[in-house]
Amino acid sequence: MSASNLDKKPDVKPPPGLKAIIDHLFQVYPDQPNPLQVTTLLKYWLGGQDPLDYISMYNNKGDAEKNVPPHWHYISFGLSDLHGDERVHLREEESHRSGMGFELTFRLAKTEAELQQEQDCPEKPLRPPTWPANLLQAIGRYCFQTGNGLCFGDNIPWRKSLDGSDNSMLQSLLVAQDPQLGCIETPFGTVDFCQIVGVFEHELEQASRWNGRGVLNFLREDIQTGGEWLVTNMERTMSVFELFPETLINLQDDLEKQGSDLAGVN
Amino acid sequence: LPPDESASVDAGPLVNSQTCYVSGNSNMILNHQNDNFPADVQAGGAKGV
Repeated sequence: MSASNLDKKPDVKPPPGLKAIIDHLFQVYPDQPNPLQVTTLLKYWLGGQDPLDYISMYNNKGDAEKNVPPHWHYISFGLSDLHGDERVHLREEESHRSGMGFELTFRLAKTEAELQQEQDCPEKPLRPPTWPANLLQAIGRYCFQTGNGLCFGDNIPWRKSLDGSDNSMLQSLLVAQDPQLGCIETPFGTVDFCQIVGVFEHELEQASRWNGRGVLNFLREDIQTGGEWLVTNMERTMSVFELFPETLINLQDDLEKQGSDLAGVN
Repeated sequence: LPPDESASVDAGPLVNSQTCYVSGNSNMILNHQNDNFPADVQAGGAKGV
């Protein structure tokens, strides 16, 4: 916003639940105080179709030491209680959670072309892809319509490419705790940050047979499968079990020792 | 409020030149975070619709 516009509306502040998340994100991204954001024109609480009022998009440079590639980081606003006046979420006396108690996040690896463009024209900021906003809205709609929340380790068969393309092998999702955002306290209760991670159908099958957290741990081990922060790479062509066949054997061993932990969204 | 009126209230003044509709969803626009707050506060009075 330009200085002249700020002058016109000096007292405007975001509502407390929204502000708590924005403040938390500012701690993580102090260099990006005004990130690009997808906004619903017609808010859900005014009859709109999309339950997430906002989805912010940050430019994350990654961390080579932790095997984390440069990526775009998407964070939703709306599954938790942003306003605290029951326009969306009814307050439950016994609940310590804000709204549904979580927000969604997603990390999308930058493509080679994007990285090259950043290197060639560092003064010209790239714009992140917006298809993940539609993905997060669709998951948000599922949560609002069913009343079901998401938990770390859950699996979601999406049954089509996450970005709507014909050639991506990533057609399923697992749910992890966002490694940078964790969990926060807001004026209206706690908010967990649930990161959705794009996976192969085979990886989802194994998560269903065994447990999602176990498969996520395998994915964390190599940069090709997301690295420590579970960055989704839409150009990935091999599952973790094809890249590292020994993981499948380890998984079978663990399944026999620990049993299964079924938790899925269908 | 009828949907068309609430949309105009909620949208507020769009001041960012990067504003555009998000592909595949005519209800979502791309903007900068801080540009949205004035619209949000204006729409705050429309509770219960």
